[in-house]
Amino acid sequence: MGKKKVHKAKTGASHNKEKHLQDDAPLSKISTKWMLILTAIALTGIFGVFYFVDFSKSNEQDKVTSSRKPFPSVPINQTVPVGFEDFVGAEACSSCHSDIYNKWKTSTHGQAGGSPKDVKVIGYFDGIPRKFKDATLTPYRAENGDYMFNLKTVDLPEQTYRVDEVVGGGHMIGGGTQTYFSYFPDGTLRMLPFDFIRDEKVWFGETSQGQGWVPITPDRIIDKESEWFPSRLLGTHLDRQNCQQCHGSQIEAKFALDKKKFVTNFKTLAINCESCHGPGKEHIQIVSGSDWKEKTSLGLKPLVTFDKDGSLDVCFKCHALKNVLDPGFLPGDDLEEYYALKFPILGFRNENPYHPDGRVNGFAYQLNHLSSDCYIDGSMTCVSCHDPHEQSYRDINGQVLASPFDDGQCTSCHASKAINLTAHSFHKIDSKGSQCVSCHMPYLQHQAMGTNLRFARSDHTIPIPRPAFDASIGIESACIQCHSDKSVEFLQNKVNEWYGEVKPHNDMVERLLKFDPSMSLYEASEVLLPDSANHLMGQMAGLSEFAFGYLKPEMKDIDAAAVNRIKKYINNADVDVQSVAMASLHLIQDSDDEIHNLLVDKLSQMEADRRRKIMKRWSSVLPIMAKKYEERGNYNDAIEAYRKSLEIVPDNIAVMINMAVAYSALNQNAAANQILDRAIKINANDYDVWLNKGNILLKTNQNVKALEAYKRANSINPWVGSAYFNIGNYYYKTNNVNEAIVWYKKAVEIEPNMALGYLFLARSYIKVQDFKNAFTAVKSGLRLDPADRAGNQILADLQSYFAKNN
Amino acid sequence: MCKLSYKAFFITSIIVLQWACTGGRNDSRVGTPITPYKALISAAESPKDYIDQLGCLNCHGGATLPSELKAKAPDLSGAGNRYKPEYIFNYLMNPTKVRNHIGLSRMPNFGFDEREALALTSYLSSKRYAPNVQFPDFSKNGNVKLGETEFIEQACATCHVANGHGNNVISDLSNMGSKLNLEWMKQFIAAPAVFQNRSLMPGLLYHFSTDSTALIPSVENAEERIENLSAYLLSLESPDHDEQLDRYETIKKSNPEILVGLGQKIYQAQNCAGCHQSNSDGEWKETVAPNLMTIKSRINKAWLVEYMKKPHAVRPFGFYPGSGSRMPNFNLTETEIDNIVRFIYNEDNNEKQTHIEAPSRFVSNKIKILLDEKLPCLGCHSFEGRGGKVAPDLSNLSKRLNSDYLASVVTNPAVAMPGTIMPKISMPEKMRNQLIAYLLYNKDSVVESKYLSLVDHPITFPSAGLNSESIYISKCAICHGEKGNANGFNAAYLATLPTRHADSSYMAKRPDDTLFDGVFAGGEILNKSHLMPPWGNALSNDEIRGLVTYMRSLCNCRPPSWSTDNKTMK
Repeated sequence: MGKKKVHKAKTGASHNKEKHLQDDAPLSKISTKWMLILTAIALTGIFGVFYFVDFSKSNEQDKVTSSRKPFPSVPINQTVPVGFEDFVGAEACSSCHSDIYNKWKTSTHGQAGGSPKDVKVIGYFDGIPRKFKDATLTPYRAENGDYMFNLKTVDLPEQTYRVDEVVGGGHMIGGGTQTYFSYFPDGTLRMLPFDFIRDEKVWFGETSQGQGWVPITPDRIIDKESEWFPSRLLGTHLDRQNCQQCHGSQIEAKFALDKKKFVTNFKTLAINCESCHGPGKEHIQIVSGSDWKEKTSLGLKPLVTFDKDGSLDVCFKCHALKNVLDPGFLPGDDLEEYYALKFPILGFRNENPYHPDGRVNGFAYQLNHLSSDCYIDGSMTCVSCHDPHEQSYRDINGQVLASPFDDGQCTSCHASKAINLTAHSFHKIDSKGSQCVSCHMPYLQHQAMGTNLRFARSDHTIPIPRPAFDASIGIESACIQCHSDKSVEFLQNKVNEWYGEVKPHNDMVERLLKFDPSMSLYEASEVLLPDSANHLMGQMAGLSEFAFGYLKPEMKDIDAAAVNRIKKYINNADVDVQSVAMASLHLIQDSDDEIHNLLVDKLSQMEADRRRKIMKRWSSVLPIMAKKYEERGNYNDAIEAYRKSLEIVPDNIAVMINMAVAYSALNQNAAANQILDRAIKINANDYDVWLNKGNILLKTNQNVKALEAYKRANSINPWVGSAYFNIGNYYYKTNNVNEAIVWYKKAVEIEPNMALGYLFLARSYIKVQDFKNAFTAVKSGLRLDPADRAGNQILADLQSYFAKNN
Repeated sequence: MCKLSYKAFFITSIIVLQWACTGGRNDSRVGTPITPYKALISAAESPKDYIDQLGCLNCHGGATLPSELKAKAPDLSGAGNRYKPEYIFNYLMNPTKVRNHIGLSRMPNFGFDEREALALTSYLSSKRYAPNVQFPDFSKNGNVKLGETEFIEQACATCHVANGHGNNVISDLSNMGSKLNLEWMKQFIAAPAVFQNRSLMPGLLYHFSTDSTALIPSVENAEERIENLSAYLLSLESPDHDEQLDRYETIKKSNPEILVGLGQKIYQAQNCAGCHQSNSDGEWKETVAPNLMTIKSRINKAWLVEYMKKPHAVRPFGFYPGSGSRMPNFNLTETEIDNIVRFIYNEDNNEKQTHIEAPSRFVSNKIKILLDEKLPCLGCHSFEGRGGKVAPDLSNLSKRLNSDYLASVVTNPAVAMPGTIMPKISMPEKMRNQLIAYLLYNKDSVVESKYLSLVDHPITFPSAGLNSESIYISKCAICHGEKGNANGFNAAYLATLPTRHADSSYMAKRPDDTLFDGVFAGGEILNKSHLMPPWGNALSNDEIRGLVTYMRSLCNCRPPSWSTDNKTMK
């Protein structure tokens, strides 16, 4: 499967971008929480005015002064979640379902990954060194047959990694790759950022500097932008970049408090029966009984009976970008409890992974099928064309087709076009141009992967080629893929000549295209929030444009007509759209009793499961908006958004941490401290809370208490580099530099790509006049972050020192 | 226009009339009725005799000519002159045996409700055909007492019985006063032959002039004797006549909307012309019901025996969907049923069928959901009290159908049932086999389906034509309505209202290609009802294109402009 994972900053598994401090005040580092776009913050000042905001008090005041109804609590989920022990593995299915098992075994899902002993390794483990600018990678076979990587990095000890698991088999037509995983001492199974691509036959890695996938070449440095040091782990975990639960079967990655380690469980890194069908234990128990023929339920649902959206969700649990609401999803669990599939759309326009017409902008999976007319005006699901067991192709009636390019996928419904194919295609019969998918499902390079290596996926919005329009949004039209010698103008004229007027875009798409951020709030609401639409992806995009572009907390004078448009959306049947609308209304006018009570009533009328799903989403939309306010320096609005989020789900620790950070940015340290104490009451074993608590304490010169907090975090999870780093900061600040050096060294040992760790290590060495080690440390830091001003100053100082003294 | 053309039959040598169609007007008659009918009816001996006498093949096909029966059942050309409407009404509701000389045959019970019977009565009462014969002026009132003597002493009592007198060879005239109109009765006694082709009743009092247009008395006082006889017979009223009249009048008054036209449709729908002669009822249809010759390979014998004892609605609104035809109840005796079964199964108990294993509960459940949510079957078939009323109920089919036959119907309906409108539904083989097993074995609920009201549902006669309109009428109109108003008889039984092809504002948004695709691949692919089946296996591309054009004529609209440039179907 296409594996790469260019997650936007706002998705659950986000890149962390650090703001670095340039003065020489002690630094603290806050680690991030999964559901927020928390950028790790280095606190900038110790002193500042601080105010005190008391939440409980302000809430009480609300209660006293009005007839406002309280928000209902989040209903407890009565459904027992699926457990890892409920799964039996594919082999348990093979005795009864041997025909299907055999088909699956050779399918792409069946060969999607696994132990290197079981799957075909396509990477060249040939012992030939591949050179980075600052490192040399040698993939090789060990004497015992193990697949190994040797990595020699300038200034660092030589490292070797054994390939413990493999993901991918180079199966995908538009660019197949293979990725290798290795166990790390903290119990995680981490992706090694050295991938192999089938067609180009090269080792490559991902950069996030805009080039996407780049082969390993001597001009590339190996740094965190190349996902070095390996940090992406298998399984969904809140604090780490991760592969969620998709690149394998029944993946479970948890931090075990008692073992102080991660526990990673999975059945296989292939995609097995239970990935789609759910846990099979009960099924095996039932069919082992002699009376199974009399049982109405066999412990598994027949997927063929699922309705359109139900069927799609079976695939979307992996084949879609999604925001994590709760970790721990396993097949058989209710997808909507764990993921919000349309939430990756949230944010500003350039952050939407889909263009207004639904096509992939950057990187995405196939959720944009929901933008296709085949979905909106038809019944198309994944299994309309894809055989779920062998990933072969079939027509709407389930008849097997010869290839992925077979017209039967389309013409079993669009029979009218098959009567005289050339009259429609204007290309010679049996030519590539005459194939339906050549024009309507072209393979488009995902731009996030850059242009060096091919990662093209067929366009599941099933569009009509519109050369001029396509060019205008930066997409290569289907026409130009073959006729690259022709201008866009020529191709558009040809389309005009052949087809005249073509089918207009969906009204919602037209609206998104028409929208211009310079519009007034009222105009924007008219364009983006139509009274009726049949395009949920577009409606989500419109709502997001409007909410992120125009809304902020408590807009007293907002145009009533615009508010009414949002009000209509709080009745939307889609759980994502509805929750964003409710959160928006809550954000802008909750102080209006009527609106407040409307929201309360709406929630109260929902069935418990729906209410819980809505509230989870609602409470996670507001922090995403808060992050945007923070990006614009507006911490007060951010705090207000966090506060409202906690009104809906009061015990969300991630939101509390973010809120504390925002208070801290305003130097409202007491408020920050208070909210963190509240978090500790909810969960005293969350190391992130303790880290942040330590930061506030250190900042307010409560140094000893800060050290206690950091050590508490460190004792809960000894695998977090920033804990060591922050303890180092304590010793540095309290002038115990030798001790600081010990802790900074541990920090970079655990996170070898922590530039700040090296820089502060260098500074500490300078203090103890160990200039040689200082020089090595600062070079490592600058290798990772060449632009760091303080680091460059240290380097310059050291160089002039060596020049003078040598 | 000439609708009737019965040739004279020289089967039993007594042919009286030759009706010919002469430009829509008068019939000419030749011959003189003298000789009585041969032997009345010989006893049925072979199974074939039973079939013939009961007239099964008049509807079930296989007969090359209308049977004997047709000559003996009452000619209804002038039913309005002949019968009192309250009699027709009550008789239709509850037919009883009247005639003893028509062998095993009888008027069966069609299960008409009051409104249906009223409609048919209105129609029959409107039938006022009068033979082109100069009758004497029967305007005097006869003497009942003299009439009674006449009845007893003259030939009447030889064949008829009335009030305890005479022999019930032909029929009992005891309640004549409640049945017939006086004027007609007089004319009939004078010249029975002109009212009924091959009538057994001799014209004893009059004979025809040589040009066959005038009646010449054969006896003295012929006119007076007829007046007296008629007066006597008309005086014989059934004890519940007033009650019957009341009932009829009440129904009539409370259903003023029921018109003659509907009655005529019901007359045609029930193939009345299969047994009754008439001058203006449309053509007799050779097959309005399953062909008996093929039943052996399709229907299980035990089921058929039960069915004949008490027929119920297998197809609730016509063997040809929409035609409203019914299998009436003949109140068959065990001997009759036994003989019919022998005829159908040809003494051959060949009921060999492939054993199909019963599905597990789980599979049954799965198929049930598929029937409810994915497959088009329940658009036409009813099942457990829901679904369409076009085709047979799907419950427990192993009782009714041969398993091999069922499998072949599901697999390829056009081969298994030539002439059916059921389209072949493509699906994976495994699913089809599970569906077949489920249909054979599901026993959860067998709801006996009833015939649909012929008054409340539009009757649509299928057309044998091959043009687009005919295809639309026979395949689409049952749901979409003849004029595309979504009011076909089956529309009321669908959860989703069928598309209104007459809705120009909606249809103007649909490209022709979309209409084509929807017909070809079914409603579900357009995000519409899965109950609209795919017709791609049953209709040719040209036929579907024709339907698209026809739908455009129903909406009188054009497709969206963007869909019409260059790229529409060529």
